[in-house]
Amino acid sequence: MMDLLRLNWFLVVILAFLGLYCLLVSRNLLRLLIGIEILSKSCILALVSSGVAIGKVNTAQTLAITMIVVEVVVVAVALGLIIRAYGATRSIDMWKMNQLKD
Amino acid sequence: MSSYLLLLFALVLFSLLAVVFRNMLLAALSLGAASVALTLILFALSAPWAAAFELSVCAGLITVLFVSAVSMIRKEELFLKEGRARFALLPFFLLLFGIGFWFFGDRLAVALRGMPGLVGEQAGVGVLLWSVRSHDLVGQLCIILAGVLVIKAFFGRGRD
Repeated sequence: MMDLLRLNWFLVVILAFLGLYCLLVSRNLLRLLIGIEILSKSCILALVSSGVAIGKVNTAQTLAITMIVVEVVVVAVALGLIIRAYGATRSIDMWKMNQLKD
Repeated sequence: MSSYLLLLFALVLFSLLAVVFRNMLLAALSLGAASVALTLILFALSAPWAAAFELSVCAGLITVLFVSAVSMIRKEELFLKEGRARFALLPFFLLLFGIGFWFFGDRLAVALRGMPGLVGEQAGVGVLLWSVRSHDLVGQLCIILAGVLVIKAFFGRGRD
């Protein structure tokens, strides 16, 4: 069981790094949202694998369900924001968002 | 164990593809495939409720939302040039991060085992969700309501 936890957390760290790297590097607003999604996937895996390792998988599942609900609302709202920003600037480049203040 | 490793590899691979694909449609579909891989991992970890939610919401609904958003945006914008040279460092940092963490895995497991237990741990998921963690449900309802109101504010028809 200890090895499984170690393996899962190895993956969690890799996924979290992928998401963070995507958030840092990308200028595309849709890709930034994909980075947030990857980060949240790593969090769900961390929750469930920790729950399995210490024998509290049901509590971990309830927390994961809560997190999935929050995640889908965040994605829906962020996509709505992106579409509205695209309507205003005709671009999904983050660096062109500063023109919104004009 | 080997099929489990294959699932882990698929999760990392599809997540990596979602980050590096220039075509946003393919990136969104890769994210959906990564969600399917995570679903299978959760099933393998004997967490079927979380897996069912992950499959229906993340692999289904969120992929549909992404694809519909991509379809609303012009093709030239989707292939945005964003300095791909910076992505070349990604595998190196990934390797560094992974190797660095590998040495802390045991300490983490020991720390997790020392954590105090939660109330009602032996109950099923349904009892836990509706009785023990019912405050979470209130929070979920509030956040869904907030999301609906925000979407209504963005796309609702104005009075004028």
